[in-house]
Amino acid sequence: MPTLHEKAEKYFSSPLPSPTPQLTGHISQQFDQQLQHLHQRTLEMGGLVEEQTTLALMALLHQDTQLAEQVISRNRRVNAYEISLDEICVNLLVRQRPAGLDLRFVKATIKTVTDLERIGDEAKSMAYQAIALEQQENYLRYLPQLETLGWQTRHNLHETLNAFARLDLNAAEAVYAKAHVLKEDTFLRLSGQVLQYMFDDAQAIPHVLEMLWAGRALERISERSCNICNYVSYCVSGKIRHTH
Amino acid sequence: MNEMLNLPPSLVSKATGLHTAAHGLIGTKPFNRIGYPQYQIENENIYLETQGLKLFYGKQPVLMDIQVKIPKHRVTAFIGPSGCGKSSLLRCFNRLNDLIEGCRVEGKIFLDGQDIYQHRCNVAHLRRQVGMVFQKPNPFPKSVYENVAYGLLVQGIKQRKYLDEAVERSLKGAGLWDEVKDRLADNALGLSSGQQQRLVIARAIAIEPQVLLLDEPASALDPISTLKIEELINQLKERYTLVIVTHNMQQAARVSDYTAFMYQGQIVEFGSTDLVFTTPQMRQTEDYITGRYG
Ligand SMILES: Nc1ncnc2c1ncn2[C@@H]1O[C@H](COP(=O)(O)OP(=O)(O)OP(=O)(O)O)[C@@H](O)[C@H]1O
Ligand SMILES: [Mg+2]
Repeated sequence: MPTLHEKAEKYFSSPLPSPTPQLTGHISQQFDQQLQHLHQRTLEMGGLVEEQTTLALMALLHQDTQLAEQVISRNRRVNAYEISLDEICVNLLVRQRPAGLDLRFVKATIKTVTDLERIGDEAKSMAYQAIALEQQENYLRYLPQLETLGWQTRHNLHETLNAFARLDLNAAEAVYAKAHVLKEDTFLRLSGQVLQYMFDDAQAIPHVLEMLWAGRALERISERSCNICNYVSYCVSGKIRHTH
Repeated sequence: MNEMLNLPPSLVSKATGLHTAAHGLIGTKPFNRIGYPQYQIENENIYLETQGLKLFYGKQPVLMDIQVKIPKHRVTAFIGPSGCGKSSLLRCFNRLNDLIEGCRVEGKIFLDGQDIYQHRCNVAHLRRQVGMVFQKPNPFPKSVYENVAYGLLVQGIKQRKYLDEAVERSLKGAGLWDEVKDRLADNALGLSSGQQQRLVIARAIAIEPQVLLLDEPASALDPISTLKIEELINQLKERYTLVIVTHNMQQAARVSDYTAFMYQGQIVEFGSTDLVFTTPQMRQTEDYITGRYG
């Protein structure tokens, strides 16, 4: 039997943040289930948004209008997720009055859902660009970089969602760093090339511009990934990172 | 112009688009950009302070080395699981523990700079300075008037006019005047329990204490009476230093400026209420406030 003092000592020596925060462990199992449900549904939404991004990118790279149409029509499902998750969050706040980690998790989720919805919108606009570019002969040769940037962006989004899934502070910070660099680079890298193409061939200007818009969408997706990483960091550590 | 309008700085900065640096406001001025007072302990005037406080019932240690600073004209909440020593600590502040057989206290407690456990301390005087309200409303089976005037009568004050004024002032202070002004002669036990609890608070403030200790003051009350007590606490802090023990964490979050989390006779964490409830620093605090204790 540990003495009273030893027992107390154990707690005093465990400052937060915990490297492995758990949403479970409440006396109320119902609360555990509600938080897990919220987490699960948000990850589902994340999965859908990631898929939308992938398909939009493929539509763009393979000049596949059918795929693009599909992305556009499925965006409604993303929006439906946002509405239902917002409702879950509000209900959870009013019923459970979360505090500490739980409160930070709900707050992080509310914000994450908003950013996911916006990523969905960016995927949709990439799909529209794919349709606009349909008639162009082999336009990708103008911008070989777009492909690399596209997959890097999607990869970061995937890792962002993993960090959210595991509430992993270290992962969130690592992905943030990568996504942030990519975001800063994306437009720069593309616009430099675009100018060159425009000088070389005035005919290419309209669709090269369209590609540039796709680049803008990717840049925004990186930015949203950074935001989500910040929400995960906040949820775990309680510290707010100020971005610009 | 702002002075003329007497606007809180939060509104001024919003209206003018000027953003005053947050730390310039916290603690020194009553309003800041979040719209309600948010204090920092470093800037506070400490009214009650314990140093190395220990308490035993017989051989059983119940408080172990408590160091806590309670700021003047603020509400400080003590939360923690049942049996962690909250009531015992509260009773140290007006030496009510002296009345408990086998109870021994070590260490120091300073009230406004004076050690209250010194031999020379006048305990009767101390208890006038530090009033206490308990969980169950405990009015005396006497008239409303006599209940409120009780402390003054005990002090030998007899002037009717003075007593009348004190009773009215205290009942107003406790937010009860309008409800009982026509039944001052009625037996206090005929009041509702929410009214009784406010009556007890009126009785406590009639003798104009400096500190008011409240041990679960609303746990036996209905939600509306509870909110009235909470609002009362909020108003009383303009004139008194309040220390509240509560099992209701939402209540602690609503009424207090500072929160102390106690566990097994120690203070695990002490901080501004906003921080303790959003980003506690210790695992055990988080487990408790999120309902994981058990
Ligand atoms: N008069 C007494 N004699 C002996 N032991 C006591 C006495 N009063 C309290 N204790 C013990 O001291 C410990 C702390 O009690 P205390 O009443 O201070 O706790 P508390 O935090 O106020 O609990 P609760 O939230 O249930 O009111 C408990 O273990 C209790 O059994
Ligand atoms: Mg108690």
